[in-house]
Amino acid sequence: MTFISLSHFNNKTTIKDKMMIFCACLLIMSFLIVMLRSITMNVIVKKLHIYNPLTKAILYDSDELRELGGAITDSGKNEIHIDWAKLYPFEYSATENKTKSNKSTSTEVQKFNEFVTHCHSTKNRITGIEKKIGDWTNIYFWNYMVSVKCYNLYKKTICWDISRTKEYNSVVVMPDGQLVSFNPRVDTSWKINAVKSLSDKCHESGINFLMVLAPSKIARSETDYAGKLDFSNQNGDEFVTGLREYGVDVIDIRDEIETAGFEQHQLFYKTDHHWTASTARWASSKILDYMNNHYGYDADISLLDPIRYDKTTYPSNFLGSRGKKVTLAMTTKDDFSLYYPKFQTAIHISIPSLSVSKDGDFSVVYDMSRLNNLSYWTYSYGDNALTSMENRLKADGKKALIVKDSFALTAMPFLILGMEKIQGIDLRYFTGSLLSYIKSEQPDTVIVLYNIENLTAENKNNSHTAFFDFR
Amino acid sequence: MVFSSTVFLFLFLPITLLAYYQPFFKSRTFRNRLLLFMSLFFYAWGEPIFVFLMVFSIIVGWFIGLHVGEISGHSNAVRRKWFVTGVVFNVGLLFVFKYLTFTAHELGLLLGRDFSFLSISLPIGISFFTFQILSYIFDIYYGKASPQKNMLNVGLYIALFPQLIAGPIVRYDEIEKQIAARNENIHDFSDGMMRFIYGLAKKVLLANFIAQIADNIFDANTSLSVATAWLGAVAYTLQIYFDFSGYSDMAIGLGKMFGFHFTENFNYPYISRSATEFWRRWHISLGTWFRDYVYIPMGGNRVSKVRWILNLFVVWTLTGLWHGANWTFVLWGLFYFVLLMMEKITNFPEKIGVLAHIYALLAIIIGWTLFRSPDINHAMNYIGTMIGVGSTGLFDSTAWYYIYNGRTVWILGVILSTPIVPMLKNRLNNTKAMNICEPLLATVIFLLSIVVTMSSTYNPFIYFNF
Repeated sequence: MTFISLSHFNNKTTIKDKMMIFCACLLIMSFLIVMLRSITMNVIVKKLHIYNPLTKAILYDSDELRELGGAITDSGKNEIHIDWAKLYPFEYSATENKTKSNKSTSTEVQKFNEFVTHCHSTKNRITGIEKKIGDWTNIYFWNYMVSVKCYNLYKKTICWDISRTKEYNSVVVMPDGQLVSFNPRVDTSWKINAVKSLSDKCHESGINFLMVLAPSKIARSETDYAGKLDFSNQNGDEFVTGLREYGVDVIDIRDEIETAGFEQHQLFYKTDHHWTASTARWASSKILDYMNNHYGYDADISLLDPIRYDKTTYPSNFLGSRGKKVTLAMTTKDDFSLYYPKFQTAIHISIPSLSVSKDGDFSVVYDMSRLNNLSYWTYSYGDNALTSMENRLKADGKKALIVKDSFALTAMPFLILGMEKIQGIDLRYFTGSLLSYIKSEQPDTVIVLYNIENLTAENKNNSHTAFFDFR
Repeated sequence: MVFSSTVFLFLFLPITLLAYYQPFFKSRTFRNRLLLFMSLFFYAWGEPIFVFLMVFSIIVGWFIGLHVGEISGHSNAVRRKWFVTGVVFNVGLLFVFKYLTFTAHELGLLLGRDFSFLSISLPIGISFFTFQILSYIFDIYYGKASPQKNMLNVGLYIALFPQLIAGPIVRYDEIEKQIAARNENIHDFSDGMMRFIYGLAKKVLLANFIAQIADNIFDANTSLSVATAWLGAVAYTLQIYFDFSGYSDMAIGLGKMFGFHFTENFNYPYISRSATEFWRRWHISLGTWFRDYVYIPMGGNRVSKVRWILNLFVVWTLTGLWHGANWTFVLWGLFYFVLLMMEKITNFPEKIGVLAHIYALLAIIIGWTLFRSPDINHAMNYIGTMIGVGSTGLFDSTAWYYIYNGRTVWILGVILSTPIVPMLKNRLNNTKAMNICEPLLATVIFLLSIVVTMSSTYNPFIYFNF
């Protein structure tokens, strides 16, 4: 602390004094490092575009920074902003319009509301800046990822294996090494109503509607966890029962797994919350089979037989979302496989927000640039607002629209083998009106494919980026 | 801003330390102004709008302070009017921002009307800073301290960041002289740093971990076994102690680093033998505040028995309400009122020997269950489960899961909530090994706490809401 006035520190110093001064100096050093690295990144590199050996040395861990959100160049550098709401506008209901006109009549109330809104937005803006600065103090700390690893090592040392149920992506290591999250019990009634309403609207337009519920890692039969620590299956049961009572078509993949006698953990990546591509292919065959039987599709289910694929495996390649959270201090990477049909395929894939438009065989569904980073996103180019796939060898005119989460990334490439066109909409990114889109595209079937853990998703009031906001 | 955040540890604290101990401006005035500025910034970080409310209440407190003191030259009647104005203003402010929404909601239920438009956000730490302003006015009115002519010094007393948002509630007469003249020295600095480290460790290495068990169990929305319900209650008992006493340790330590000496706020409350003793050891600054500014002015125990009971009833209802606008807090306060009355009248904890510890612990745990529950219905159901009503059995795999997978933290939590460590320290005091080992251990704990703070995301302090 040489730069601090030591005039007050003129008494004889003890070991304790020295050690505590050392600790205070560590905090000051941390401050200087965070400042140096964040200014280098956010001013010198990003604004002044100076990326020379010196700035490289300061930002020596730029690969890790990219994953932490402090990328030198943004990971979505090729992403195009599309105003989906302009292309597919929302229609206000009569009730909403009425509420609006009532509100406009009272100017004093309106002024007060505007003031409150202004205060809230100011606070939110400031909070946003504070959060950003807060994040910087983490990610620009020297060797942040080493710290995260040490933290997980500490948890391992004290034998701590409990996660906060309500915390997003909080992870528990199961006895077989599988990384899982426990989900709280939630009220699914408004989600049931939302799906029912979408189903009704589809039927009114002569469109089939199918809800597909993908499982989480914990099976209903794991009674030490299910219903005691993890409630995803209870949420799922309530959700499926509610929908069936309303007469909505549902495929509960958990039922299919139980019928097939699979061991549920093995259907997932150990370090990730997603099912494996192999599981997705098997689930796709079940979905296509259902569509053949109920909606008049003519999909050749045998095309999804595993023996009809070559598999390329990349050993110890994939550290999934949960693995990243607990780091390699507590787990090891998964093997990651890509599948290539042995039969002839001709696929067109188009993703407007990434300017992707490719024709070719099955391999066009893979974004190989993701393979060593976000491996799961190799399939279907990751989550995007809209993903379209066309099967050039299938001219039966059958189209499906999947309202999807990331579980569909591995399913869509296999589903397209059974129909002419499939479109995937991810409501987290698609900010336009789903109903307008359906009206404009007129698919034969609308499928909502969500994994069971999404039932804990919150309703993000009017953000139009919520899983169950089907407006 | 919370102490156990990287923004505080890697930005706010280093900047404040550097600016405070820089060699160019060393006057008391400069340092006090600097601390005030940094304290307002500290508050504004979490409350960018309500910081103006706090500044306003400081200005009003200072202005009233000038008129309630004997040196104001006013007659006693005029001073009294100013005093009442100050109390009404501050209590009114607290009522509006903390209790109005709750009162309107309850009135709405009673009258069958919708007052939901009256929804006011709770400014962080309002109970703490309002009580400090009241302490300032009381101390001047009763002649314990002189009014500050300099408004910025009042501002520093109220807003001083170590104790601003979760205490200890520093009384004006205790700190008046330290604002004007204090002696920063290396021993105080290192004592303060070590105390801060211990507080940080209590928060991030114990409270935050145990909180995961308590939250999971209390928020489970499902039937529990008796053992799991007890585990949840015990986990919350440990969590709230390490959370709040950890915060107080950090506050006391930070104060010492800048030359301030705050009073202690905790003294191993869970070794108490009665509810009365518990309240002498738990949140000491709040207990003494109510004793000196409410209980004694009402006559204390030097009144008729009925009046004395009424005085206690008022104090414990207010103590409960101070913690939050919810019937659970009122019930919690009244729960202690009943226990204290029983203890004072029968003196039974003195007569039951070692069983008194068990009685006190059971009372404390039941009390925290009331305190933690979102409403009385939930609290009663939970307490029912603890005694087997509506439970899924005595013991189940869930209870074992929480015991087994959190075993180290449970053991550490139980040990560190007793004075075993200070007893050992006293035995080894001033030995060479102790003089080397303690700072070394503190440094290791500090590094570990930093690592955990950086890497975990859960950090809200429980006491911010009060």
